[in-house]
Amino acid sequence: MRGQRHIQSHRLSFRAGMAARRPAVVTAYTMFLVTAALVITNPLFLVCILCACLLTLASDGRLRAAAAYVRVAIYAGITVLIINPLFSSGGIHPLLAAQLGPFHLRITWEGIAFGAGQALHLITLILAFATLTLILDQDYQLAMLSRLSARSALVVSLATRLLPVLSRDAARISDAQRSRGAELDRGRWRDRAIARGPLLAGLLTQSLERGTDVAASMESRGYGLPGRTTWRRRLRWKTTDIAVAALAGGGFICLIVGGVSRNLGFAYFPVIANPMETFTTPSSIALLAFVFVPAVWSLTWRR
Amino acid sequence: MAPLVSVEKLTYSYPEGREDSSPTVRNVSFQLDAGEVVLLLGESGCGKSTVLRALNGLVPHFYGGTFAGRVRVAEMDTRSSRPRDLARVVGLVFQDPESQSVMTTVEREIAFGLENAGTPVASIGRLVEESLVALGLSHLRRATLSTLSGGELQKVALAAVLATQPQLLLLDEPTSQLDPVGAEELLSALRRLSEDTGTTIVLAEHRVDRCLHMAGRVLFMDSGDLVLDTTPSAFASWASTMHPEFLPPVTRLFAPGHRLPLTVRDARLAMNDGTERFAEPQWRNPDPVSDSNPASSTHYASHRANDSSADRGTLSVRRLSVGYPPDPPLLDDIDLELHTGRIVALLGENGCGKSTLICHFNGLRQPMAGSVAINGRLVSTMSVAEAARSCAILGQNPTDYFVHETLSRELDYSLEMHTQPGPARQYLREAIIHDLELSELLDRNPRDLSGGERTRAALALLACAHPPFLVLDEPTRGLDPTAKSALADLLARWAETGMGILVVTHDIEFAARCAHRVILLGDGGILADGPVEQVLDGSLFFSTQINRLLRHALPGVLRAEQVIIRDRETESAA
Repeated sequence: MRGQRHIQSHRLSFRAGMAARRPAVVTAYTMFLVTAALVITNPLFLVCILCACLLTLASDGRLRAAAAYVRVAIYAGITVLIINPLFSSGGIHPLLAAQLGPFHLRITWEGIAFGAGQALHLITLILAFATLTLILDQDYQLAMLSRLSARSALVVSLATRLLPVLSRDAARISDAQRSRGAELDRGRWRDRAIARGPLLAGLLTQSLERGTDVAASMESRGYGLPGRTTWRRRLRWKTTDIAVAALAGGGFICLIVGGVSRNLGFAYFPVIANPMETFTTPSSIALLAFVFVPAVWSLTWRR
Repeated sequence: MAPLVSVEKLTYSYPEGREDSSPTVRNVSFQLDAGEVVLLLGESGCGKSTVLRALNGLVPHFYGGTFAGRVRVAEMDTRSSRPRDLARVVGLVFQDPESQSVMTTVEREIAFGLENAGTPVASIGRLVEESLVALGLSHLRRATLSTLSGGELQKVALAAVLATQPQLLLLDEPTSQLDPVGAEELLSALRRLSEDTGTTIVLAEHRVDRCLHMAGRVLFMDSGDLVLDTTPSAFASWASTMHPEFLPPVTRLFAPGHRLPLTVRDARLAMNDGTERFAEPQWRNPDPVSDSNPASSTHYASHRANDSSADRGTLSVRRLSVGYPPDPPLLDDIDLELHTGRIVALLGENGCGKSTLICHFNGLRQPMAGSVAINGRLVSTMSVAEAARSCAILGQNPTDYFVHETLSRELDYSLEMHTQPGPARQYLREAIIHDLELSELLDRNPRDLSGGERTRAALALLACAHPPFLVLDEPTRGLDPTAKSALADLLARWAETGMGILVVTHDIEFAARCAHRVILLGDGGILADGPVEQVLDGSLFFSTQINRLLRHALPGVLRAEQVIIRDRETESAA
């Protein structure tokens, strides 16, 4: 066979930033971000977690890959922001009150703030999951989960791969349609959406076919047999890995402490609480350190 | 000793709604012993892939359907053993390598089967390494699969199965995306594997010229029936009268009735065996495309002929550099021109940048430097859709072009994009349907069509735009010889109507059959560019069987149809 050849760097699987750490460390930190995004409602904390997610994604050059998640998060956030105040009529500072047939509409400043807080919460949560999906090594996820349950691993593995694979398929199908002469990028967003409508059917069919093919391939290659082993290039635990794992562990402890002492929540009703009130407690400052230090530090890591 | 594989009266139908509910395979019986290399031949849709799936248990366990008869592999009955249990002894490489990859990087993909089999971790590293080296993939070990070319991905799929050291290796068109050198190396590696380890290999292939000589047995299927189970020599004699298109070009050169050569070496020995049985070869027709089917009378051809926009033109590439920044360019400083009315074949090693290059012809990718212009207008100033009306590109996967339920609806969608309503649109529709023989397929879902039909359907969609230039990326991938021949005729007809065609291919015989000019890429640039008989003549690997046999006697000869070799024995007997 032909000898060694040059390989272009874009084809290599080397990762930078947080993704360059051991998979267990990456799992610990990204899971910490997801858990924090789930349990914390204080908007200042949420903004900090959001920033940490973006820094972590940037450390591995994955911001562009996260663009689809960001779009989904913003659309979902705007929807929550618009709808929530209509149904959350608590609060003592009314902005608008009206009788619409049998419905009494009451919009308050507190309701609007609650909607904004919920939107921020949703956006942070989506971005935290995006960080987990994009930064954590997918092959590691499969290996890790297959130890617990082969079937669950298959489902989770296919699901986490779905978005990147779908986005690649979508790009290929879009290119094919453009090559066929379809104008997908002309006009306003409504025209573009209409032009892209037919692609959706093709994309869905293709992703279903792909899912079936991958499942057939896994089955015929022995996936699910008892006694599975896991091979990967041996990576040494470095001081940095241990430090990040410790920071993530510390973060989990802070979440537990904060949860017990009710420092992580935030009240919008009857009046909007002061977000700085719980933000400056020692456990909150420690939590912020656990959120930010690995994210900022990861910007300096190269494999 | 019991045979490794025993297939008894296998009859199988896919579940209703998946494919045609009539049996895909009917009453098939055969046995295979350890160490045999078997070539499974037949037209697309004849049931080859289904037989392979039955041998590893995917049929019926995974696909369901109606299964009758019995298949036993290494004493395991596939009705009671699941594919994952059979995976310890059977390895299957699917037709489409892209859809079978599970992991994200090359070495992990290769390790996947070993991990599943519970191979000790210490051994996995060694076996992965051996497979990488055996298939020349060492430099790609840490590459992500999504960045690999089709050929590279095909090698990875094969390496992943070879690493598990199966007793029975099932290969569904394993060389369809490989360059000639890669294919040759792969087949040699397989032959060595079979000889050294006693691995039984079943190879379903359309490229008979590449592998007939390495097989010990040939199974020929026709519409689900196993019609022939014999030696390669006996197959050659049978096929020379029944299915000559399934014979290697060098075999077709000789008259039927005698022992036919299967390789260039055999043919050379036959011609030089001292008996002077064969007369000196003579030219029949030196023009590589003039003996293709006549073009002028087709409906679409006359429609194009009446269309002034389908007039002469040029696609010019000036000092073009293509690649993936910040890496250095894959191809640098490329200058070339394509002209309407000519067919050009673009050849080159896997991963050399052929597909990347053609993406610049309609603006799908932006150049690192240089420019592409069609009839003087820069592609960079047009939208892709606009450029596609001047240069249509058929990618490697025609399925990407289908977004509607029926082919009829697909055609209407394309026509609506490119033509005004009225009789002219209707006439064009009919002309395309007639020219591409699609009338029987209009109500079918294009995704359910066979490989050849799918290519024709996708070409029909592109034809609606009347492009002066058409680029096809690996159009012969997965096509049987009959479909390939039909495609070559079609391209020749379209070229005669003034269309400029560029075909990216690894199929040298196809290039020799339909191209006027060949461009050979390599080492980051153009290695050769000239008339087909000039570039392919004398080449070591990028050449046809006939040229390798007769290049000294008839320089420039490429195809069996261009040559006459008289058999004196047969003539005198007559």
